[in-house]
Amino acid sequence: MTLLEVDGLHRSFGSLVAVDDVTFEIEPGEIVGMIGPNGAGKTTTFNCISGVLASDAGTVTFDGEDVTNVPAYELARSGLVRTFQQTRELSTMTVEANVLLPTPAHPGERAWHAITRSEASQQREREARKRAMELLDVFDIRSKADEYAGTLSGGQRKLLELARALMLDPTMLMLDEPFAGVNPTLTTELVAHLESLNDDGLSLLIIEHELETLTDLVDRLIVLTDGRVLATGTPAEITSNEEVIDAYLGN
Amino acid sequence: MSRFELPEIDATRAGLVLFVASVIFLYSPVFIRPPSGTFVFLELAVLFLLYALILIGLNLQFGHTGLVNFGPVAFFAVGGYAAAILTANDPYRAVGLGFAWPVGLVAGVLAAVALGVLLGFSTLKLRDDFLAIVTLAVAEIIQGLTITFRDVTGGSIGLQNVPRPIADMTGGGGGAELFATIVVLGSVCLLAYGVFHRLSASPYGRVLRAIRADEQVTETLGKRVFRYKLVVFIYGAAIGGLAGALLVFYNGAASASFFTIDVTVIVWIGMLVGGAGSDRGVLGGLALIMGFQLFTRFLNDLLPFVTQDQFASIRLVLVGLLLMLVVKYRPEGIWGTAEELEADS
Repeated sequence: MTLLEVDGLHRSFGSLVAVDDVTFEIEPGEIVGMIGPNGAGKTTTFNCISGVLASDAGTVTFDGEDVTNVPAYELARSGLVRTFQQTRELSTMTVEANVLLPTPAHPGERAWHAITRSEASQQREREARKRAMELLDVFDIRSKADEYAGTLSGGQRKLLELARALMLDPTMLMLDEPFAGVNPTLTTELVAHLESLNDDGLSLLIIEHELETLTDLVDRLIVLTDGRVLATGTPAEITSNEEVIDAYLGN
Repeated sequence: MSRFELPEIDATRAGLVLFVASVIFLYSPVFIRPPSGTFVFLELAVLFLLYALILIGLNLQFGHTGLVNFGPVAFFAVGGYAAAILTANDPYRAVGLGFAWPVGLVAGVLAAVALGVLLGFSTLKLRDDFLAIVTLAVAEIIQGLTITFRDVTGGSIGLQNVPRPIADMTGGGGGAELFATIVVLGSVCLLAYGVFHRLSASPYGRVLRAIRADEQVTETLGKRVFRYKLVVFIYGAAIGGLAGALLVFYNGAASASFFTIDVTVIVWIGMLVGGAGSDRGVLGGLALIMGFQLFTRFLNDLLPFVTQDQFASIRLVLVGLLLMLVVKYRPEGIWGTAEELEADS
């Protein structure tokens, strides 16, 4: 069964049509890249899918459920988690608190449990802390657990965001330019992490500018221009597609 | 992670025990009559405890969640007037329904909650600065309403003959009721601090601080941001309303002069001086500001050539200067944590 199905998605801002009849599908376990020049509508597409922005028309189906315009928090809980273009670590909170925040179904996030310090809440917090530490270990930032996230380096912030998203046990991650502003060493490291997550069954949709990084990583590419899907196909097909070369790779 | 650490006593439990003890104290024939020279301090202490209740709510709203509520006095006023109107017996030129004081207490809280729900639903979806403007405006509107609807509220003269349950239960007179009021309000305050601190120190508080840092990220990590903001706004409203009801039951009257913008200013400055987000720090800040006001009152006595009105204005200048010093040299407040408030000192 198709994991994510986007059908005829449409969004305009005044007279500007940012997303125009975008249709694509993602199968479970796939890594798909979304490329396109600046202003092609990649991030707006992401925002519409993830419920951050309401779409004007079209449907989004995730894991068999119609999730068109459901609130962002519901989508995240149902297993479709996104990151943002700029790293958005919660800099005024510790690294550990950043990772603990998304813990799903935490009774301690309800007032009564918090005030009574219920056993259920403490139990969940212990489990969550264990999982958080595992994730911080995986991404090699455990030594920073008690530091404020604002003190992390740019690369560590990217890793923290990934760890934080995984706390929700997602079936699919949507990453908005995860390699932007990242040095080559860390890019290699990030790619390795993403591949290993994908081996464990996580599906990925990745927006990226730099085609080079993506072609090795992804199974398929979706090319957007002017809010429309110009072409989809394997990296090899896309890089030899005349239309794409004209529109995006340029002369 | 506050710098204002005391040994960990559970304030919620201590507050409960103290509250029960203070009720027993009220019902017992025992009373304590403080020396009359201390009245000026004790009266200020009562006001401190009432403002502390408002501040406990405001700190959850602003210090933890980042909601800029510039009208905490609105909830204080609505709670106070609702309690007074329902319980006053034959007030002078105003409405008094003569119900028992517990009815007034509950009604005061509910009225403030109702205002919180109304304001929360209509403004919490807007940007932060809208909430600031709307709450400030609403506080001014309510102040205006209480003065102009004089047939209901008694206008600037106010509502008299409101029951004074603590004074009635305390025998002895001569300041004994003042002492009893402090004992009761002190325990209520400790309990409220304990409950709100448990909220802020739990995973619940973690969500609130995440909302303060980045609403959108918090939402995309699976949290119902609007619900949290609304509920926190209502909690603050409720405790503000409670403080208002307690005030009129202490005074035996409600009057527009109790509910001016000065209340908002004092709790806000107390919070900023103490360190927004530090549950103990903000109360320390409030104590500092109110202590400072008392100190300047004594100073006025030493300067006979300055009238009281003139000195009130000078006091505002001094409070402003104090705030400027804090903002310049310790922007996170005395007991605040710079990293949590993104303050660079």
